[in-house]
Parts: sequence; structure tokens; C-alpha cells
Amino acid sequence: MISDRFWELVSKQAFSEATDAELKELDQFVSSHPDLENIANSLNALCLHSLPAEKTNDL
Amino acid sequence: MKKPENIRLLQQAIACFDDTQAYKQLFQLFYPSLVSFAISVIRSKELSEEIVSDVFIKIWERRHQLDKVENLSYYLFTAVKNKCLNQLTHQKTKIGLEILEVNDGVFEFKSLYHDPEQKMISAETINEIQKAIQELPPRCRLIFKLIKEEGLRYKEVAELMQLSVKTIENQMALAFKKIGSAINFKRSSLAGVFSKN
Repeated sequence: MISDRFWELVSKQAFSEATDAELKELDQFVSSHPDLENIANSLNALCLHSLPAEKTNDL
Repeated sequence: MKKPENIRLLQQAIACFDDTQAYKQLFQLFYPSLVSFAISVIRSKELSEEIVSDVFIKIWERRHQLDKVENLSYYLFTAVKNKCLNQLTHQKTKIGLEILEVNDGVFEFKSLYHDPEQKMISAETINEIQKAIQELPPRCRLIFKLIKEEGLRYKEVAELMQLSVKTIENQMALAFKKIGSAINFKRSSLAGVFSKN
């Protein structure tokens, strides 16, 4: 079971909302749970992903 | 995410050169997400389209001041929200920011990978991610969209939706939990896919 705090920290990291203290906390989290590193990296990559195939509308 | 530097260039072209092509691009860039957002507030597609169009008309009328707007995404969403709330007040309808199901199809991921095997894996993973996003509660999905696609800050979304920043943090954590679980579920087939970015 992954702590909700982990998800909060990863989301804040992904969108540059994390403080230095939170980034440090996330590092410690990942250090003690190495399996989480891939997930954190994947989510960060997802947030850099240029996504939307948005519908367009003519003026 | 819409690139702030591109938005800035469009703003300048409109404000300084009356550039109608830039205006059209700006409209096309923001119209779908602004309409989706308006629908989530006033529950009427027709009215939402009208409101967003009105906002863009005002943008053109006041184009020479557009260059002074620091964060155009936030400005546009706030303008649409205010117009929606005015509309609701006008209708003497209960005002609220209860979020409706936003079926906007905005979350469509494109594969970044050209290698057929990678493409297959990423397409499968992307489907899982899309599914996870579509299954998010409506309010959570809207918050995720405003931050991820519109590039708004947590604080801006909190102000826009009249919520606390803590609520935005919690909603984003929930979104990441659902998406992360989808990724985790596929992790054995995922190795290295995202790390190629």
C-alpha cells in the first residue's frame, strides 16, 4: 500500500509545486522504497508529455 | 501543456500587430478547454460556447491591452468563470461550482515512440493512463486538466474553483494515485518506456 503522501509529493514535484523540504522528503521516500522510483519517473515523464489532440474550432 | 512562450508570442502579435491569424490560433488553442470548463459550471453547452465566444470578442476589442496580461491562461479561465457566475446569477439559479461530467475528449495521448514494439507497449500503457484519467471523479479530472494541460498553478486553480490549495493538493494526489496505479499495474511491460523521454 503506497502512502497518499507519496502521491501528493510526486504530483507536486511534477508540476514544480514542491518545496525543497518536500523534494527532500520525496527523495527519502524513494530511497526507502526503490520500487517507487519508476513510478515517480513515469509520472514525471507523463507530465512532460505533450498531449492533447484537442478539437479545434473555426472562428 | 500549452507552452507559455508560445502564448506570449501570440499575445504580442495580437496586441502589437492586430494579427488576426494569431488571434485565430489563440482561439483554437483555448476554445475547447474553456468551453469544457464553462460547461462544468453552468451545465449548458450552448451557453458555454456563447460565453467563451463573448470572452474572445472582448479579447479582440481590448487587444491593445493584451500584452499587459501576465498569465493569459489564468486570465481567460477567470474571465469565463466570472461570466458563468454572472449568467447563473442572472438566471437566479443556485450558484455553485459543482462539476459535471466533462466529456471533452481532451485527454488524448499520442505515442512518442516510433519503434513498433515500443509503440505497441506505449499505446497499451497510454490506453491504461487515459482510462485511469477518464475514471477520475469529475472535479478531480477537471483540476488535473487545468494544471496539466492549461499550465495553471495550484494556487490559481484554487482561486478559480473557490477551493483551498490543500484541496487541490489532495485532488492531484488522488489523480496521481489512480494514474500511478495504472502505470504500476503495467510496470512489467513498461520497463524503459518512459525513461526514454
